[in-house]
Amino acid sequence: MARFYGYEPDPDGTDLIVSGLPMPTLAEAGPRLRASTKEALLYPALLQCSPNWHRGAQGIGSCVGFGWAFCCDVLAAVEIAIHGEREEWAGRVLEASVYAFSRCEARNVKRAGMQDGSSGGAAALAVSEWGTLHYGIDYGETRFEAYDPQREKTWGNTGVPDELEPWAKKRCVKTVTLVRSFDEAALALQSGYPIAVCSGQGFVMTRDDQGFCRTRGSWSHCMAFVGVRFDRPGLLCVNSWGDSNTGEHYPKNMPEAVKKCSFWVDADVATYMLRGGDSFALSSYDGFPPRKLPDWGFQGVL
Amino acid sequence: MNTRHIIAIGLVVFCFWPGSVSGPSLAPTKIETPSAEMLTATRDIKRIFASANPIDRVLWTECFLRVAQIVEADDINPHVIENSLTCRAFNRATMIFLWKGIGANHPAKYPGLAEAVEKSFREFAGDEVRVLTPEDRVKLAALYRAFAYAGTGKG
Repeated sequence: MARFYGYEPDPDGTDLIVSGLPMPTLAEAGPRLRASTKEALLYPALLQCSPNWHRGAQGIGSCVGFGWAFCCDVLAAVEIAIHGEREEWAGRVLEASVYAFSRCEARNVKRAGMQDGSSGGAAALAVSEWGTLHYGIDYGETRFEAYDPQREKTWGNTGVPDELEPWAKKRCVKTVTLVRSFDEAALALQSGYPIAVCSGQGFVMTRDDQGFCRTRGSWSHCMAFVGVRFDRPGLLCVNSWGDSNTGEHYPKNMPEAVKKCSFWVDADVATYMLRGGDSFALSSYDGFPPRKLPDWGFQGVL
Repeated sequence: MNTRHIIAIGLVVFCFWPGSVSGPSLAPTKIETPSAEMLTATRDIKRIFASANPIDRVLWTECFLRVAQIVEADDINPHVIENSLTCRAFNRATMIFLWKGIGANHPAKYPGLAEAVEKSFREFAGDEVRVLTPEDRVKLAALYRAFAYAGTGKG
């Protein structure tokens, strides 16, 4: 079961990291943000940028890498597809890069050991200070094509190879901000900011007729909140166990790829999860600058 | 006009004309007048087609009217034309299949045409690889229709 989880709370470490954040709370990060009861779903932006997207399944206890990498993907997609930023979608973030940075470099540790796990605060520092690597990008001689749990295991002990660090540094998340309640989460999501949520709350795997999963047991786990609704107040939670959820969903037209790996969490449960103080909203990603088109396809034909 | 041209245009009209099962018609297609902005952006294309072969003008007009329809039909997720790079490939494929393949037109038959079309595209859609927004799709369809309109010699 250990491979399904991997969240290791580190309250002291996270407090220290949060105290060093330029904008530790949402009130400071977005003083002009105003609450509303408008539904917000961030996954359509991701599917617009990456139509064949499919949620992977973590192979070791690297949920923190998976949850945060996914949030980086959603953030990049929102910035491109909704905010219209001049960036190019360049593929998914390599989960191993976030996971390894959070275990080693962000904690200034040379060897983190072969056990699994990390914390939200360390991942916040990882993506904001050390950056991210991506699948499908040439990093000198290195290119990552597919998920490899062994890479996570190795890097989780040694950190990201030094020669790759300068590449990662170019792709940082500029702002990470603590989110402590459903209301704060709603505000962040309505602004297009995904939330990496680390908590001990467990759930059943089958959704009810409104798409919600009720609580059951405890998971030391990191997931992602990428939607908010108010008909029955809740947050849309994306897991990292591949096609893991069944049952009815909301909205009805949700694409299969998202439907199979997600469920709604009631507002009071979400607040309970977020109150742990290790969940963060991400904003302002240093994405890939757009490439120039050679032409629009008419040269040499007309 | 040679036999190939007649066959080509007959095929195009037959394939693309709505309700063409009763037989092709060469009656001029009704195209809404583009916005002033679009007319300005496509004036070089209009100038080139003013002295073009009438068959080529019909082919051009029909081709871009259908291209506009195709872009509008691509409104389901995931989109076929998802970004500017796939839009470029779509433009290229359309021109190769219809203008060059069916119309038997060789490159640079109308000097300056490729440059004029490229210029209009850059003006309205930029020159960067990026995801197409719903607004981009509306704009693209309007631009393709303006290309079609320019082929009629009106405006």
